[in-house]
Amino acid sequence: MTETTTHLAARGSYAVEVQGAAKEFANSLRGARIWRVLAMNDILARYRGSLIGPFWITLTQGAFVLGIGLLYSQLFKMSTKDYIPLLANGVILWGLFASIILEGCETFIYSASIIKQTSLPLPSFLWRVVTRNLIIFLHQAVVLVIVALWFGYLLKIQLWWAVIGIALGVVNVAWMGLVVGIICTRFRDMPQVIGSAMQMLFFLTPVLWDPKQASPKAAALLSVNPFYHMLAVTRDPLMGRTPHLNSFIVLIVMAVVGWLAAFAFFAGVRRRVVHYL
Amino acid sequence: MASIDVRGLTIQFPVYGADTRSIKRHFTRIAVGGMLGRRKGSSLPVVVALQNISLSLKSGDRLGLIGFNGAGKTTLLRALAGVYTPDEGTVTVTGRIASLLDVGVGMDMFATGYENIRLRGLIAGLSDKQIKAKVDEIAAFSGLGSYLAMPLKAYSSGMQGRLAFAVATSIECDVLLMDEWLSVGDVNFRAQAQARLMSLVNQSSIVVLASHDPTLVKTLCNKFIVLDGGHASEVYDVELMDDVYSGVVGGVGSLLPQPVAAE
Repeated sequence: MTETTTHLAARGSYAVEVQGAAKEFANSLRGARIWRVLAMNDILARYRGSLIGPFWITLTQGAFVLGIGLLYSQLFKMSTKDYIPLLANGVILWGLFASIILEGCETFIYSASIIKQTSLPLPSFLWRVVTRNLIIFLHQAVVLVIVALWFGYLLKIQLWWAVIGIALGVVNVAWMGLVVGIICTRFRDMPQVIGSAMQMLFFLTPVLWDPKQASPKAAALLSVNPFYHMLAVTRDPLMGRTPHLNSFIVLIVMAVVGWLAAFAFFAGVRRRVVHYL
Repeated sequence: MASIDVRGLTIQFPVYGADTRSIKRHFTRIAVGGMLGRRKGSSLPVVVALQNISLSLKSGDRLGLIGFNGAGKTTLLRALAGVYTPDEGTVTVTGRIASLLDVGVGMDMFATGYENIRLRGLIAGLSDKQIKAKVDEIAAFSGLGSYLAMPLKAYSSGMQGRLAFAVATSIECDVLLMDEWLSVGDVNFRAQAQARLMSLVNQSSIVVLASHDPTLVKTLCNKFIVLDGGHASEVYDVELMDDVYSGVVGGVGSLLPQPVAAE
């Protein structure tokens, strides 16, 4: 029989706390099964009693793209061939990034009963949110394939660039999710604030419109919007264009700096999260 | 060898009340209360749930925790389970820990009985293989038969209790933490449940049981401590139970831990 020893000590120096936080992250990755199953169960729970299950997401997304696409292509005076792929990819990728942040607000609140009864590492619940949204994204990707087939650019999709781009985007929204998750647990009115902020960002980010139509001044504004870069590295390859290297660099820098900051924050407050609940 | 070693354990609950939980209040407090001086949250009330507890248990020990509501029994159990980290002192536990603090933890009303067995098992730290090996036994013990393929919401609350109990008590552990003796089900089930719980207790190297029932502690435990307002008595032999308990109940002691502002 293997002996397991758990040792818990009082708050130490910041260096000790950082070590503790790192251990908690490592443990959360080692216990991957738990958050994978919890994420799967979240999806199942959402669509229990429904006939086509998670493909409702696909269907509603498809209807949305079709409806908005037909009207907005007229408004923007673009052909549906140009506009619908832009819109479909934009909306679905935005959905992936935004919902990790929005649901990130509830990371710990949603799992409160488990956190208050067990010693499962806290990052597990962040991974639960991320995994859940990646699964939903995979269902929505069906729409992207159909659109690509219909408009005939399926074989031009640069899948590897897209995968790298999505991974980079998700790594970035994951640290944001951790930060808002902690803040929203402490301050219960923050989810609304984050919600409004994300809504505004939706309009500031070229989700529904083509960034190429932006004037130089607007383009300068776009370049400081992290979500613009997340869309750039994911939508372009999915539409068969080679993405700009600039956006990759921005995202890599942001991922490193963001995770360092988020981790430092987590190390400082992780002991208190259970008391916030 | 299982062991529990608690040294100088203090646990405090900062009370994030309705008014301190809003970020607006937080900022106005900073603004009104004179910038940095109050930033550390000096006006945040703190409940000292446990104060300077030391405790050492080895294999074969069965410890009863006695005390009134708010004395710190559940907090101590949760600290042993690793839910709370100490504010002072250390907690070291060797061996697999199982806590029966809330048998319903992680149950999903909309998932089927079988799915719940899996979810619960995972949260308790079992592998898929271990869960698979236990499913039949859990199903048989719960006596729910074909109900297990149905969502939990179709169960009566008694049936839900039976399933939760069957899953929670199916674990093998070295250190068993219990908050009150579990009692579920109808007359027939209750006897089986008692036997199962007893065998779980007997299998565990160390048992810590919080209870208001002195007779239960006397039958199950060989040692006990009295918690009072977050302070622990020395560890008594269970034979002293009657004397101490009448002293506690008769005495004026037993103050609830009073909230204090952190310095």
